[in-house]
Amino acid sequence: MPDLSKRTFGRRAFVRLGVATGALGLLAGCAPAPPPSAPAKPAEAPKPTEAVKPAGAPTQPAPAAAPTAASAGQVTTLKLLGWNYEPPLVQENLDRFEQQNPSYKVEYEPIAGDYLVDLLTRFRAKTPMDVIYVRDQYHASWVESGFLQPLDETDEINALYADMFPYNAAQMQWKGKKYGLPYYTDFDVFAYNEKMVTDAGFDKPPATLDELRKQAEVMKQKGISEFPLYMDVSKGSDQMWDFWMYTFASGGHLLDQAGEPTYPDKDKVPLAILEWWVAATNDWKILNAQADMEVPTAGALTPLRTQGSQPGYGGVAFAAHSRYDLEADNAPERSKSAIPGKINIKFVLFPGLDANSPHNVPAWNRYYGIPSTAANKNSSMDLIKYLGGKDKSGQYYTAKRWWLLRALGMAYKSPWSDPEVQDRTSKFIADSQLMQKANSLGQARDGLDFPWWTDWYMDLQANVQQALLKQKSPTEALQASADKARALKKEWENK
Amino acid sequence: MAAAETLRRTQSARTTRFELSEGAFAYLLNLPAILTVLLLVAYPIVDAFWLSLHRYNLRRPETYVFVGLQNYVDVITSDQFLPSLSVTLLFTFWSTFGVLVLALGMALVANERIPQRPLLRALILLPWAMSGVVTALMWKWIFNPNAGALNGLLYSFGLISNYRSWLMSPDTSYLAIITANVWNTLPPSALVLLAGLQAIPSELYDAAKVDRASLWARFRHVTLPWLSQPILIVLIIQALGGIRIFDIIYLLTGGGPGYQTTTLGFAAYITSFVSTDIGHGNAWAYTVAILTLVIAIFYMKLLYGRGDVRS
Repeated sequence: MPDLSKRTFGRRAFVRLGVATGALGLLAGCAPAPPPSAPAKPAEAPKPTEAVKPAGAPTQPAPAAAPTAASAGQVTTLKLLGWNYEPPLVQENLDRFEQQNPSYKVEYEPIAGDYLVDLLTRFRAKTPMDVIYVRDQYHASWVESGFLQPLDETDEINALYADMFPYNAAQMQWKGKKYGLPYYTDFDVFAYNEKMVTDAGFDKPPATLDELRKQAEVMKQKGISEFPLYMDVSKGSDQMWDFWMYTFASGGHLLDQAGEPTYPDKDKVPLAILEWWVAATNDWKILNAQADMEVPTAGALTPLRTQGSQPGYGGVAFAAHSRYDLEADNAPERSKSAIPGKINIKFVLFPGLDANSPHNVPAWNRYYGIPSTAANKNSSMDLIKYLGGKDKSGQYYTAKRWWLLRALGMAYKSPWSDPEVQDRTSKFIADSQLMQKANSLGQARDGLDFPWWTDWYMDLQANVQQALLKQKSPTEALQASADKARALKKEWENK
Repeated sequence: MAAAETLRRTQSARTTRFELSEGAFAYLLNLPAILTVLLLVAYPIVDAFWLSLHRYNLRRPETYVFVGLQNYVDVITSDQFLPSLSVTLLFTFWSTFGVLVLALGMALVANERIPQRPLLRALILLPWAMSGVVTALMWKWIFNPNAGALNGLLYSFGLISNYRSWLMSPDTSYLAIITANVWNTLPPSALVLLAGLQAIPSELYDAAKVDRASLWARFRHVTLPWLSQPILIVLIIQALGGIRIFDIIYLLTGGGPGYQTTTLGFAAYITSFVSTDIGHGNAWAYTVAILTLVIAIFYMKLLYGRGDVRS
């Protein structure tokens, strides 16, 4: 048996190892080189994974095939990063961009995990990226940190901004500079199940919170629904939008422009809203707050879409959510409360504390921005002008397509008058005038520009939950949250 | 003869020149593993500690200031620390207690000569085959307030009049996460105890029977003393796992309702990955690590203090 511990490593062995390593290196060096980047071949785009293309999808044909081999040596590869919403549809849009712009190839990387953490890590590592998705809540801090670069203000960009709704155009700017073009935008709506409201004996949906309470109580008494009202009161950095919705609808705010909390004393609306919620949970029992505190399970139907006690009934009759959810609410294959051939889930201007409430709603904006690590700004500009603006044929191609296929809102005004868009809209929104009015009432959540926003917001959520569980009074809960906001503000001012 | 001697010396010189000592050769063989450990384990640990001594938030990445132990002071004096510590310790205690009692019971049953013993042992192992995330998602469905199996079961037996939220009720959220954790971590503990039971000489039980010892007396005076070391191992594993608990909290309750189920580990996650406060987040994480270390040392002293394991 050889004694391995005494084994020696002689010169010959060393030489043999060296020769073998060198030979391997030589072999590797002689191996055929990897094929060059594929030319921008405008061959037929890959088939979408969606089985059925909605009739309303843009019908404009892709431009004619562009030269291939000739441009092979001049292809610029662009890197696009975004969260992983509908990657196949994004890829189809990019395929079209490559067809229209043969000198570009786009590598798209959908990020499945926490987008914020992922991007911040890449920013720190100076990872090369050319175009990225940006959420409105990241906008200010990313600009301030130098992660984004402003767009070149050409006539073309200025014209696009002039066609946007004011909220969207304002959101993408910072200190007079423009930082992106819109991916999509949307706002929250107060949705209701028309059949349940009618069967409860009401001829119109609630316009105030008092009316909402009354209708919900009647539904409860009649056995139409045990808890007719649903709210998202779960905890998470992007949860509990309902507190914004109810507060805005009644004209309230949470933070002023300096980041100072205006509740619970200066602005009484948030306290009144929380008191209403607590009573709805514990006294009137029209809201199952404990169940609604759970973060919805992935893949589960929302309470508005679950099967109620009768066909056309949902688990609840009232719920606030994004406008684009209305489409799925009314699609029988995606909602058990949908009624085929009828728009059963409608929306109304968000009920407020009284009849004079302004019915404002939180809105949000997602845009394409250019990171400071982009190698060639002009190339990045070409891509975002296509994705967030017009294509070479002069159409708002991607914005329109997102609306037609997934009901993602358009930040531009002019495409709303497009017949295709109007036809599609009428499939799931009964009153397009009401939609335009609600669109004009959208406003950004308070304080998104402050770096401590998430910390404050999650603490606010915990306090709201404690109030709903009667572990604190509404005043104590909001006072604790306001104190937290002040402490965070002070802490960050000292940094 | 001289030529042969010269050749021998030459060969000897050739080999001696590169000859490695036994220790050096062992290090050489282990070098890849050592480098890997240093790179993948030691470096992140040291780097995380270094980050915990800095003010560093990814929302203001240009600010990177050495603050010494200030982040630790901030963590320990924060409003969240004592409640989170309390939640963590209580969760650890009850999870460990639950696992110990149930694992002991299961091991005793599985050690008996009963029909279908292999099947029983396989069933005991089943929860271990599932990852913590899958387990948590399964329990999330079981506890679902609108369509959960638990609600359905209790409702069908008339034990509850309405479906309820088990995870967000202040009365039951704690019990719910402990139940899920106990279910998931039970099998390895049961295995350890079962192995311990099988090591007990049957002569001891025979002798106890001859002495007319009752079942309880045999358990008390034979089984338990022989199981003391395996029980200690179970306590160590469970306690350390309980202190570091994250996945079940993250998926089932998100630390709520309010802060009711926010443990130290979950607070470290929120600070690091939601608030992106890397400095304080690492200070939270190191606080958990220090607590874990203290408990581990305490248990190790108990374990090695007996002398049995070392021998």
